[in-house]
Amino acid sequence: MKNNLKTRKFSTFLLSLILTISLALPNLSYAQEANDGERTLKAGHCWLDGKPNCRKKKEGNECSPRNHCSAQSYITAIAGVLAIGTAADALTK
Amino acid sequence: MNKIVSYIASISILIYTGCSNQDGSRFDPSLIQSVQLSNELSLQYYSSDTLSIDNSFIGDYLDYQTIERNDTNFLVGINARDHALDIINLTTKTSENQIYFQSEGPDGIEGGIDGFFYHNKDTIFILSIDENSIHLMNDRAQKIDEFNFDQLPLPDGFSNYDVYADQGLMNGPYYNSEDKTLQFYTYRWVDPSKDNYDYQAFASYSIVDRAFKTIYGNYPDNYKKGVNYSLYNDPGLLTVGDTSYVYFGTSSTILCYDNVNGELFSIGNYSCEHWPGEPQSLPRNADFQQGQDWLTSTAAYIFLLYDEDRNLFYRLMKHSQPVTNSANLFNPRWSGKWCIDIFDKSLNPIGHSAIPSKWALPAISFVSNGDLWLKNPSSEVEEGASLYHRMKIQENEKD
Repeated sequence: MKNNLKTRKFSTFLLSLILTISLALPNLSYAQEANDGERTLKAGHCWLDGKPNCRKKKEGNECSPRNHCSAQSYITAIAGVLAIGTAADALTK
Repeated sequence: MNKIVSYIASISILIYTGCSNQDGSRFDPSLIQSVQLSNELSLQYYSSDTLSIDNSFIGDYLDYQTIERNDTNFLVGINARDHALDIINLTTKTSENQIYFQSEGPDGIEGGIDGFFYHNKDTIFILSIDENSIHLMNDRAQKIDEFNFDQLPLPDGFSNYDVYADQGLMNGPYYNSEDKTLQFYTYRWVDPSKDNYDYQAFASYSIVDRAFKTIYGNYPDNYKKGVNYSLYNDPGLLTVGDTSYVYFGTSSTILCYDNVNGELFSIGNYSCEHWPGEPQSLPRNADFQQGQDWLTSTAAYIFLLYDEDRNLFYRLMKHSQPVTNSANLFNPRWSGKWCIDIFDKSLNPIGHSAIPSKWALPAISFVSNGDLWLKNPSSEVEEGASLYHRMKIQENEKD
């Protein structure tokens, strides 16, 4: 009888332990990740034209000051490339 | 002892099924819509338009929104150089006015202007990543309120984040005026080499309670530890009332969330014949040229736009293209072919239109008054003029 009671107590303990661990796991992983990131400006490339820019991002070398992409420079640049491409296409036809 | 074993077994099964679906997906497969294209509508070229923008330095805006005020439509864009919002009248096609913000003092926005949402002249939200804040301003550039997120953990307990708005990509902020909540992207400062994208990217924040209501926006299954999708690591967001549509450059899924309670209630999974499927990830240590070539050649879903006049969605997809052209010059990354899926309010695909290469630059595009405006990349333009093609919806003839 005593043995049965002990087994039941142990299984209840084990059950609570597993539940506690399973509930705590996601929080543990967030806590670990939270210490890894650096909130600094990083050198990257403008999404539009690939030119260097400096924004708060996770990866890259640190940089300063923060800058923005320019649509105008991209439009001017691709207009040139498109014109050359059109001329080349005309020559090959 | 047998009982203990069976307890452990049942709990393990419970935990496993609770954490993921049986196929290991982050999503319940019963939420995925099974749809087919009904070719009812298409977009047709309507006109070429020239906007005269006073500020020739800016030329075109990378972060913008269209609004209607007194039956007139306007384009509002961030003018980062002047720390201002520029307002362009889309009827007269000229600059209307600018809202210049101060950089210091009681009305100051000290950090850069990274995102905004213009609700009305007394309710303009300005997002500043530097300050980790969203400012509530009016069109006289006066500050009405400020919401700072430095000391406010997300509902899942994560606190090392910034309110964020990607330049060029569309991911908020939005304002749900009915329940007075802001919807925005929260950029989590996790080590990218360890990032498994197993969290929700967007938050709903009540400006009345000054508290988060919910978070939502799971990443698709192809976003996992070690992947590098360059620009498309960041998600897109479109909010219409209580519904938030979350989308990603490298996935054909559109996730539909109730932004009041954060519940995912539907998944659109339509892709047209031009979609080659999820791209291969860039190596984590890709060099500059590898990154450039990947962005040029990879097909991607760039924007999801909403036409509130017609209750339609337009999804703009950049096709895959060769890295170099016939003259052996690098193709500009956005100047190849594009196509547009047209969806109804329930995300049923009801039309499809092709955009030929070199004709338009849909990476700069917006919807106003039932028309889709696409940037025209032609170089034959005077200083201060910005060219657009305008497209209109048309019903297709039935066979």
